[in-house]
Amino acid sequence: MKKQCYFSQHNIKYIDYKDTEILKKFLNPHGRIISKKRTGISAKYQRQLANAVKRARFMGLLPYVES
Amino acid sequence: MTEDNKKVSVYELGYLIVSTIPEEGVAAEVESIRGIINNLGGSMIAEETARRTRLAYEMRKKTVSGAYNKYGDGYFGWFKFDLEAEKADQLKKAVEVMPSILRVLIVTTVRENTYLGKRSVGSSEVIVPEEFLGGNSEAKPEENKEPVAPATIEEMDKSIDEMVKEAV
Repeated sequence: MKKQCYFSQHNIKYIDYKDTEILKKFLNPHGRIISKKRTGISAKYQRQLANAVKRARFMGLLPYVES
Repeated sequence: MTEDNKKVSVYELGYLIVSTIPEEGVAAEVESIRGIINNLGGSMIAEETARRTRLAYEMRKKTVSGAYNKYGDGYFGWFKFDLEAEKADQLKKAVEVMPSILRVLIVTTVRENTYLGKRSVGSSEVIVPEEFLGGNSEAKPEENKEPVAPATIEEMDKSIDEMVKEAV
C-alpha cells in the first residue's frame, strides 16, 4: 500500500522551523533527517521539511549531531 | 523567489539573545530589535516574546577582544512582519551586529499562523490584525484556520509513529 504524505494529510501548508516537536518525528536518533523513501512524504514537503530542519539546527532548536 | 524587489513580503525574524543578559534586560534587547524593524518601515503581524531555552548544541560568539564566549542557553523569540524585500538584507545586518545577539534568521513566510507547537504559557504575545483573522490567536481552532484545522500534536504523533514503524 502506498504511504500517504503526512503533511498533506494533516493539512499543513507551510512547515515552520519552530515546530520542533513535529520535525523531531522525521529525525533518526542521531539527529539526521530520515529519507523520503522512509517517511513517505511527498517531494514538495520533504524539501520543505529539510529546509525547516536545517533552519532549526542553525537556531539551536535541533542538534546537528546527537550522540 | 522571483519577486520584484520593491514588493512587500511577509518575513519572520527569529533571534537568539545571549544567556549572559539577565532576565530583566531581555525586554530591552527585544524592543531594540522591534525598533530596527519599525524604522525600516516594517509592520508587525505577530510575535512571540523571547524565552530562555536550552540550546541543542554549544554556540560560540566572538567578543570585542577577540576571544570566544561559549553559550549553552539563549533567549529565543521571533517577530513576523511585512517588509519591503530590499530592506530585508539591511535589517539582517543591523540586527546581526548587536552585541547581545547570538543568532538571527530571517525567512520569508506566509501571513497565516504556521506555528502549531505549544506556546509557552504567559510569555506568548501575539498581535494579529483583526481584519485578517477575525480574532486573536487564543480563539484559534474555529476561525484561524479555515478549511480543515491542522491536527493536534498528539494526533500527529500517533500517525507518524505508525508511518515510521511501517517504513523501517
